This record gives sequence, structure tokens and C-alpha cells, in this order.
Amino acid sequence: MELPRLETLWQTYREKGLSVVAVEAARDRDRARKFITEKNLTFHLLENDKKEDVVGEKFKVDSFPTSLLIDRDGRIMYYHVGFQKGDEAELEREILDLGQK
Amino acid sequence: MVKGFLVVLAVGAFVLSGCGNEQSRKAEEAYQKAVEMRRGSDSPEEKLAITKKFLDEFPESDHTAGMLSAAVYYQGEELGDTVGAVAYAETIRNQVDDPQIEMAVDKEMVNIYGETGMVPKMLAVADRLSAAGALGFRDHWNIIGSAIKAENWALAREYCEKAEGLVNADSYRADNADQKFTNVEIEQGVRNREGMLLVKNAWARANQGEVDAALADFAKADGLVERSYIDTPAHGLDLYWGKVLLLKGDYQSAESKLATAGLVTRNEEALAGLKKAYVGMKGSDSGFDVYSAELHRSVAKIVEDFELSDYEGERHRLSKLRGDVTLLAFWFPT
Repeated sequence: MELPRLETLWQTYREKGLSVVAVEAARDRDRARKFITEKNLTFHLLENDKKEDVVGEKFKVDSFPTSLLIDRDGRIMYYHVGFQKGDEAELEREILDLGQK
Repeated sequence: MVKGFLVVLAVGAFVLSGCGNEQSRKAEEAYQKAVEMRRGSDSPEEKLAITKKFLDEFPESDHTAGMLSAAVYYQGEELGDTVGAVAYAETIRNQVDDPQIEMAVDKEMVNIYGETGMVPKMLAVADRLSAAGALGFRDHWNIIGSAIKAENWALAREYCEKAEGLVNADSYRADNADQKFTNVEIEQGVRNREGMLLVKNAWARANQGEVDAALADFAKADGLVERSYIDTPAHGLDLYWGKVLLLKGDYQSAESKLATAGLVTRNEEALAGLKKAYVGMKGSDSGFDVYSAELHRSVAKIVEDFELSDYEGERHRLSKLRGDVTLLAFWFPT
């Protein structure tokens, strides 16, 4: 699972201005909470809304995980679906790259 | 490629089989236990062992095809042992007698042979299933994908044509029987299917020299396929389209098709194509880095704001949480 790895990224780069926001799509509150506590996740964790389906309707996301990197002006500079070997290194590279701009 | 396997995994987790007798009840229990154990594991070796243990114990159940797909994914994709993965799938396949389970497993074998480039074996199974009328749209789609990967353009076109007969609401509804789709969603789904076949067929045509016909088909598909949040069309339309435009020497249009895929989704092929388009326009690649950085900013979509609750019930706006760089991740607890 990729979320604990996001915790590592966040701990590494938070001082340098990285913000991490994870939105749980399934509205499966019990399972999500259990996972968050077990893995000791401390970045921003939000849940998808029952009334407004932000994940599916607004962001049209139907494959998980989907990750976006947003620059300080709100531009989506990186968009990635799935999590395979090597993705973590690419994500870190993109974060560093974007932080320098 | 991986996505296909993962989708099967996800579906497998939700499908509860009927428990007609003692054996199938036991299989169901073992399956639930295996899925639960896999959830708790981060190691592909362990996940593979859990999956194989289930299959070895219950080679014939409603979950054979799904678990086989998972086993091949862990062993072939994650652990890199494709040959072993296929051999294992074949030994399980040979233990299946029940006609219905056999059909499901054979469909999976089509996928497995296709993904691993074993086209003749894939076709042997596919032709048998096709003659029995057992191939659905997704099976055709898998075969088309494998044919394209193997650069077997004639085969890709043959199965695109066969699949066209399944582009209708009834077939779409039957393939998504577990979902409650509205009529509008079904219409969209059918349109998307029409578009995805056009994309692959056009790519095959372009590779057989029918470049102008392919370009016309891409334009048609553009109005049909689904689009992501950042407006990239599904099924690689922009990538294929851009590559064919490069062949035509239309560098300006190629740039517009390849920019987002190359720079935002970081597709390597699209990025290479973008560079070719730049060289085509400027005569050399000097200045490409500055140009691509500027293009990157100009094609990047501005994220829309939203407000959601955290687990204490407190509402947060994305705009208030953002930093110099923000990683926004959508996840699904499994």
C-alpha cells in the first residue's frame, strides 16, 4: 500500500514546503480509520463526501491510487495513476524538481 | 497492462459466489481468508504464496480465474518470473473439469498468453472460445491489446471488427451486471467502447500505411472516448494520434497531442515524440529544455478547489492546505 510511503515523503520534505493531502474515495470510514491508526499517518486525511462525490464526479478518478502534484500556483504538473515499482522514486524526483521552480 | 489484472483482483474481492455444497462453502471461506491475509501483507512473495495455497487446495471454484490472474500478476509482474507464472497457470488450468469454470479460466488464459506475448497459444484458446460465442467485449479488447503489443496489425484489426458487433447497450449492460448504471451512463459506456476500438484500429491501420484514414479515425474517436480530469483522452488516443502526426510531418499538431501526456503524465514515449516534433520545427534539439518547461506550465490544468471533512469532522478547503508543492492522492482502503 502506498499511503505509508507518502508519510515518509511528507516527513522528509514538509520543512521544505511539501503538503500532502489524501482523500479516501470509498467512504469506508471504519476501514480507513483502522488503516490510518495502524500505519500512524499524520498528513492531511480527508474523506470523500456522501453528497458531493469529489473523487468520482469532480476528479473523475476511478483507479487507485491516483496522485497529483500541484505547484504553488495551483497547476497540476504531475498526474499519475497506479503504484508500481519505481513509482515512488519518480514521485520523489518530481517533488524535488517542482520544489526548485 | 497491470491495470487489467488489478481490476480483476478488485472484482474478485466483491463477487460472492453461491454456496451450493459443502466443498464450495469451504472454498468460499478459504477464499475470504486468503483475501484478508493478502490485505495484511506488503510482500509480493507472501501474497503469491497465499494465492497459490488457495489454488492448490481448491483448483476448481468460482474464484479460480480471479485467483489465477492474481497469482500470475504477483509471480510474473511483481517478481519478474513470467515463464514460471505461465507454467503454473497451465497446471491449474489442467485440473479444471467443470465447463463453466473452464470457460472462465480459459478467458484468463487468453489474457495470460496475450500479456506474455505468446500469441499462437492465445489464439488457439481464443478461437475455441470465439467459436462457442463465449468471448465478450473485454475478451476481444484484451486480444486486441496483445495483438498490438506483438505488432500483429492484421490480427488487431480482425478482432476490432469482431468486437464492433458487441458495441451496444445490451452487451454493455451484460458486462456490467453487478453495477447499477443509468441509461446515460450506459450510453456513455457504449460511446467509449466505440471510441476505444477506433483508436486501436486506427493505430493498426497507420502501421499498415493507411495514415490518412487513421487520422480521420483518431478525430472521430476524440469525440467518443472518456477523458481524465486533466483532459487526456483514454486508451492512449493522444499518444497514437501524436505519433501518426509525426509520421505525417505535422509537428505543430503532434506537439498539441503529445504535450500533456509527455510532460504531465510523464509518458516516456510521448516525451520522446514531443522532442521529435520540436526538432522537426526548429531543426535541432537545442533549447528543448527551456521550451518544454514553458510548455509544461502552459498545458498544466489549474486544480479546482473543494471542501471535505477530516476524520474529526472538521471541514478543510484544499486551497488552505496547499504548500509550495502539494501532493494530492486519492486512495481506496483495501
